[in-house]
Amino acid sequence: MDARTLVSFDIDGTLETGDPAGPLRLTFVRWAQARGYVIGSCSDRTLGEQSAMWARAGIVPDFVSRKHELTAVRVAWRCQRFVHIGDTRVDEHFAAQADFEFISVSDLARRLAAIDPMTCSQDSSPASTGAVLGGMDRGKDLGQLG
Amino acid sequence: MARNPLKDQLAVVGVGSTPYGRDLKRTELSLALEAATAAVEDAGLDRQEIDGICGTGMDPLAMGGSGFLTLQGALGIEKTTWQKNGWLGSCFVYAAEAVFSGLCDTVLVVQAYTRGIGMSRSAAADPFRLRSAQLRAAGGHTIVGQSDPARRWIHSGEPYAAWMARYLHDYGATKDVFARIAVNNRTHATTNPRAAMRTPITMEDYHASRVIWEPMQMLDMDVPVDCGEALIITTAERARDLRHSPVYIHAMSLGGSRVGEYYDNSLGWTENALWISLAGLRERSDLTIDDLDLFFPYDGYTIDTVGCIEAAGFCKPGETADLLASGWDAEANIYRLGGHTLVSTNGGALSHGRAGGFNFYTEAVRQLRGTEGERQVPDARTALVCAGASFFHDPASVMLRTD
Amino acid sequence: MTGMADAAEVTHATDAEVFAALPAVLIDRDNVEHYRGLLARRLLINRCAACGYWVYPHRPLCPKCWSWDVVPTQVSGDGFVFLCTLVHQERDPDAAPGEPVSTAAVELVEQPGLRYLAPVVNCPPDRVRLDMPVRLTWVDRDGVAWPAFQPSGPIEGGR
Repeated sequence: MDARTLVSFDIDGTLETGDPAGPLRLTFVRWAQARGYVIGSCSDRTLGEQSAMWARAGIVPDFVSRKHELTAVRVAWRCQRFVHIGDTRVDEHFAAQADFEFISVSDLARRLAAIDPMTCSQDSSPASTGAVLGGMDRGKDLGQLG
Repeated sequence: MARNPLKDQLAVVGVGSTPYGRDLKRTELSLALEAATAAVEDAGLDRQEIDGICGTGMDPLAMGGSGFLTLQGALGIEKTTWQKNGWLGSCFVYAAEAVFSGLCDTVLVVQAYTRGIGMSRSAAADPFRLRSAQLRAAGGHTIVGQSDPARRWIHSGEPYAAWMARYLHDYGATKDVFARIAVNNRTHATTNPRAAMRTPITMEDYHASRVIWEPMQMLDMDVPVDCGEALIITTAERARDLRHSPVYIHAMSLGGSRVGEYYDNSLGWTENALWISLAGLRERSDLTIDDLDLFFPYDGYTIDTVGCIEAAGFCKPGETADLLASGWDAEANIYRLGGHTLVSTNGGALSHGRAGGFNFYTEAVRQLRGTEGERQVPDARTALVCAGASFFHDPASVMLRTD
Repeated sequence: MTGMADAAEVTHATDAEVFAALPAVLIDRDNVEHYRGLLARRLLINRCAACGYWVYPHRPLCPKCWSWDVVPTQVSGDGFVFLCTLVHQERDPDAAPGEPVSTAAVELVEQPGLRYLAPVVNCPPDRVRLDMPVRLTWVDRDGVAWPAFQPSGPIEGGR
């Protein structure tokens, strides 16, 4: 069994690149990927739209998935933990259906902001975000956030 | 033929549009004013020449938002002799008839929409949108009896999903007919800088999209956006003195049936209001679908477009699947009707964004003027707009032409 | 207008009791008998006493003959599925997504085009067929029995 954690990100209303823009900055995604998390997106956007979003951001995701096909992600990746971060009850529904832990992006953003108001701001640097989130890592992984 | 005394007597002389986006963080009024000022400037008119205003809404005395009461003051227009609020495609017709009847000479129509809380989960979490919806509800908009299961189809989208099933069942079509409409519109939107959705999609993307109201899927449904559109209608005589080559209103018709607001009681596929509207247009127009360069069928849902294509007479009821398959350009990922008519060149409500179809009028005017550069359809001279072409309430059919 | 006496015989619920039982429904003088009927598990549809035409939605005037003499009248409850959609996601953003629910416009045998909107129950959602014969039944929701329809013949196999 792979000991890694897989984190699935909703896009619209969750990531800063979504439409509407969400509170979560891509620095968070980059940090997670650098820490060895399996990362990708799960959205009602088409797979082509999701891939285009990641390409614009210069991030190579491990997976892209349609919102209602999260179960296939779970089957494809043998990870220890599966987490979906999103902003709606629809996200919560499909996360539960695929047996993913669901983290509400507004809760996550609130926790990040409580650690350092800069984390969710426009000008927070990858370095400072990494430092803040690195500090969180004392608790091993994203479980401390959820 | 029916009487059509207004034939070519009126023209659209100004258009204005805002960007389209799912969260522009602006009020409906702000979007309305941007579109309105752009339309007045586009026409090259002094704003005090505007003597009629059609604002946005269904309530004649609506407060807030972008109704005529708010707009006239906000735009600093001193005197008007005609005012009304309207929505979707039919407000265009109301404005034109006001000019034709002489109640005003130059009318400004303004339509602004914001992504409603009932349209989107993330919109429902936006405290500004929530508050606006709550207060407007208090201002007189009736919350229909959704708590009674028998009344949930009052002004609902679900019966359109049910009609998709009925259409597939009765005519033996496959959902490829809807897929082609979604793909065609997205392809056109990729070149429209105002469009909300501009990444190409495939037939496979359509079929794999999430089911919402079976058999309706996400890519059958239009995109709720924040947007504003405006245009100016005046007499043909006045239009000829203005900046742009006039785009004439050749003929128009609304449609009404006895179904009313309980859509479960809809009549047969070919008997609903949409067919009445397009039949009314045919009886008033010297131009036929064979003359059409551009067609803007409503596409709040893909099934609306199927209805418009058939009601306009491009094919017999139930034959749209074959028509789109035979007219499909696999290289361009679009279809043409009758070998030449381009459809939804702005991307429609499905991909440009949900403006009640009012963006069809502004796109048609721009294309007929010939000002669209790389996305210009060569020699476009005629356009049929079916805006807000609901099966049930005030579908508008409008034939536009240039000299 | 007339005919209310007939309707009053079907139930003992007072107006106040009807309003109290259905706090979120838009009840007016043209439809109160219908809701009074629901509380007694009777599906009442207005029928014109002059020409026999069934008048639905509930309106006080017959659209065929313009008679005001429309009488809330119990229907047989037999019909067939004319339109149906499986709702996977409700428009209400506060509604939790769950198992898809069928919503059907059931055409009642009393008159062509006379339809009543209700869920189809006692049938797997993916086996609801257009034109399928159904019969009235009642389902509990929020402590009130609401009309629903169930298959009145054999259910066809999966698609």
